[in-house]
Amino acid sequence: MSKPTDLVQGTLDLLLLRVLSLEPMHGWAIAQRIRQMSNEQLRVGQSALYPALHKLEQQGWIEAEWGPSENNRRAKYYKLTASGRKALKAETAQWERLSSAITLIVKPV
Amino acid sequence: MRWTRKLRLRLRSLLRRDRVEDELAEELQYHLQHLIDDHIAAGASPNDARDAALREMGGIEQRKEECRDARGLRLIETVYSDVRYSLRQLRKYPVFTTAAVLTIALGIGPNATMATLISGVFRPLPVGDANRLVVFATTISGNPRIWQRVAYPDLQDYRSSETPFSDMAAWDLTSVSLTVDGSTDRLIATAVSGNYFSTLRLDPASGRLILPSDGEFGGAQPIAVLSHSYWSRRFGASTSIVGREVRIDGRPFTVVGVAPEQFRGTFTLLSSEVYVPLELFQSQARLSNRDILTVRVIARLKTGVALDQARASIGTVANRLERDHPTTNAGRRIHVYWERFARPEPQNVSQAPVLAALFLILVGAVLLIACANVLGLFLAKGLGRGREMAIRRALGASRSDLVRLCVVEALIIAVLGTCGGAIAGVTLARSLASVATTPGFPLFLDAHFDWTTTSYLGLLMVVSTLLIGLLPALRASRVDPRSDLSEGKTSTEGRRRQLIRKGLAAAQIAGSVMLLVVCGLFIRSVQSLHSVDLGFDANRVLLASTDPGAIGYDAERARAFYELVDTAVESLPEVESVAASVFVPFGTGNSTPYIAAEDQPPPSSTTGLLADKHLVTGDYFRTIGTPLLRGRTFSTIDTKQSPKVAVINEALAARLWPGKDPVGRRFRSNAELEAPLAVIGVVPNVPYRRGEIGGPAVPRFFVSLGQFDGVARTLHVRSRTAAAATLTSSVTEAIRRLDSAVPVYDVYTLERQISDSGAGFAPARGAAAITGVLGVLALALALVGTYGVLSFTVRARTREIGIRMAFGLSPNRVFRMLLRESWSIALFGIAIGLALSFAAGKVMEGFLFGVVPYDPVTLLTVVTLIGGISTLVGFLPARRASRTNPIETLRYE
Repeated sequence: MSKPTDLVQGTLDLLLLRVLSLEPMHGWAIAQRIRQMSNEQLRVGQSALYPALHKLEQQGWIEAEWGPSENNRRAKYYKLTASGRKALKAETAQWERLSSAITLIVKPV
Repeated sequence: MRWTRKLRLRLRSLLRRDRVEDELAEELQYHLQHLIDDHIAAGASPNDARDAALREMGGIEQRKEECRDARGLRLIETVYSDVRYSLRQLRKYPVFTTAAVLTIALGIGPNATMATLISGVFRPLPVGDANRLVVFATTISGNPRIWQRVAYPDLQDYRSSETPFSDMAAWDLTSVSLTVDGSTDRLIATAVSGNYFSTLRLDPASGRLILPSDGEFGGAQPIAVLSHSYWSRRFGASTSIVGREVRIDGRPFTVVGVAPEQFRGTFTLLSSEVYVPLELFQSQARLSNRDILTVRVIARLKTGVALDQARASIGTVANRLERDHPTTNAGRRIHVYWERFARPEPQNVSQAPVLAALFLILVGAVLLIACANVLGLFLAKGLGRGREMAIRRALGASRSDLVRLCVVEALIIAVLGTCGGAIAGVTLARSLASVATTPGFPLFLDAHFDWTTTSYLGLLMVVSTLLIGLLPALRASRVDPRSDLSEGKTSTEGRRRQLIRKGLAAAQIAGSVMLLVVCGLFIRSVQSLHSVDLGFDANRVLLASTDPGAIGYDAERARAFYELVDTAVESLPEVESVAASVFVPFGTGNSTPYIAAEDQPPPSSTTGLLADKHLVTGDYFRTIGTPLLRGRTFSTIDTKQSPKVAVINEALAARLWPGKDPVGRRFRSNAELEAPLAVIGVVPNVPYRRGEIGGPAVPRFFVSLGQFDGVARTLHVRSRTAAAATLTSSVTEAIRRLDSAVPVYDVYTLERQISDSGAGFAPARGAAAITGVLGVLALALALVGTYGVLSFTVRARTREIGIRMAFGLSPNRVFRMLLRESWSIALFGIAIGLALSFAAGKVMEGFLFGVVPYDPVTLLTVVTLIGGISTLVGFLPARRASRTNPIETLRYE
């Protein structure tokens, strides 16, 4: 369960939205945060991370702005928009439905 | 809000590409730096750390590409690069590109000209909510004719009845002489009811307009409103004109304001320069006579009311009027049309749109021919490009890449051609509009380039792109790198492709056959119009109009003035005789009262016979060259005091007194109800209206200017030679010498009046000229196209011909074989073209004179012409092929 391609389709979007709902952060930090929050279980590779961020930005769920980073360089910070917040709620609900459904099937009787 | 932000993001990615790219690079670089730092922290050397980090990123460029994909602009970006690539390609083949662009431009040009002029005629009036405006016309049941005017008392009844109209305004056109500061201008004037401007919802450019509170009639101190163009031209747009006094036809008027700039009146083909109250050009007596149709009506339909509903409600009132006034209104109905489609007049409602559509189809055919031509070029080029496409395919271009490339190439050609053609075409339309004049009718054509025209041309551009790009694209999508790259596959092509190419050539020939036949029919109409013996010595008569009333002459002074003019002009050396008339043959002015024989009930619109009335002097018939068949013409014994007399034409005699000698009999006219007219002479049926040529003669009678008043007259001067035009300056000077202030205008020969005026042959001649240009253009395009196709076909078959010759086919037979092929194309094209011509001929039947839509002379001429020229065109490639050296062609591969 380490590669993001193994994630259920659309799950990465949910993870990104969830992480960004905590505070605005840049790409590197997002990857780190996902790793920490999942107890090092999930690693999001660069090949999936940035296209996903750009796509969410196009969809208007997150917006980007440049700001100084912890090592005093310029970094692109992403933050959740109002419609992103709504989308997070919907995606979370969707995920819960899906995961409980899968659990029902997978769980030994 | 969301979509605006999305749009902004996308536009930013598209328009500020460098900036977005830089940011993307910086963002990934930042990530990379973190990775490197991590590796260094774990103890790797800076170089190793960098390598490891790059490996982890899996290639910065790939990541960038993925992000670009995510931004969803791939299509635009690839099209952008396709455009750049295609432009490079097209620059590489300058001859092909120039030929293709020019051909499309030649096809679009006539469309642009025609669309600009047509859109000018059918553009909504520049007034408030123009889409709710309708016009009225009178019809009488059992009579197919449509009258442009409505009886004024009827209009008042419609106004006071319950109808779904918010306003009904009366107006009419007249030409006047306006005198200010001692100089006089001849102007088109609109006489209007008080609510005319408020019905149109117009606001003044200066001062005020004529208002409903001014009442229907002029009152003691008549007012006038100037058009913006006349105000600018004559008074330098100075506001001091408001409140000034001007003289119109000799009477004092106060200028109260200026109409808005865009507004040119409500008659499409004329530009009205001054607006005056209705009554001043129609006497109260005429206006209150229910039996005379006196005013044009424009009305505003209430919002949300359908035209049918309005028609029904007007019909109800018409029924009531018919019951209330049976003597005048029996069978009288009012027709309601949308103003925009009843142009220039309700009479044209069934003709003008048809004519517009016909001309759009004809210019469309020219564009189709041009497209077929360019498609032929593309296909010929495509054969040479088969290898290129196959190589691209082999190198990994997808089918859709190749298709897109072909479409983009076609699009570029179409865009360039459309722009070039549109600029040329619109410029032509403008210069045509500025030079187009007809005698006695200051034609106004509005050649603004507007949105309607722009979008129409845009549509044509898309259609031409598809026409010239789709087939090459389909072929590109079928390219198979394996078979198309193999040796020797390039020179012969399949039967299907040959068929397509020949079909294209045939289609071009068919289109030009249709255009030439249409043109031929118009030319034949003009010929037959001119070949009719009109019964005038048209080239021996000079017309010159004057209006002493413009500077204040009353009827008596004018009469005395004309006697002096008569003597002065008659004494000119080249002049044989002089006469005067209030109206001219094939002119726009006319008077058409109802008449009845004296022993019949008094004439009304329901019981009388409609006849043309002319006011002339005694020498009129001799001067224009019409013989007197019986009786006498007017002389000095016919005075205001003596019994009123008339000269009639045979048609009138036959209708009132069939089979009897009309001389000495009397009839009444509803315009001169007080006294009957005694017939003193009979003249033959001579056409004064276009419809009379090849159609039934209109009953017509002439009364004497010695007995009735006519202040504005047109002198008819008969020259001793057949070149009356040479008299122009001497006649004008002779009149000016008597009173230099009297305006003299519209001085030209009767011949010009007949052949160039709008009521004369001008429409037919104009149509012949336009279709002639189109026909020649189409023919030239089709010939170039056919020649291209034939010589290409021959070239593509070089190998086949070589083999056949090697097996003993004689050059002569090769020649005949190829010529037969070009004939088969031509014959096929001619057959289809003739079928199209019949369809077009059916549509234009109503616009032809003295010629049937399947006129054998026209058809034979066109077929011979096309057949002959296409033989010539086929001859050259065939001869070249028959001289082929078989050995060489076989070695060629």
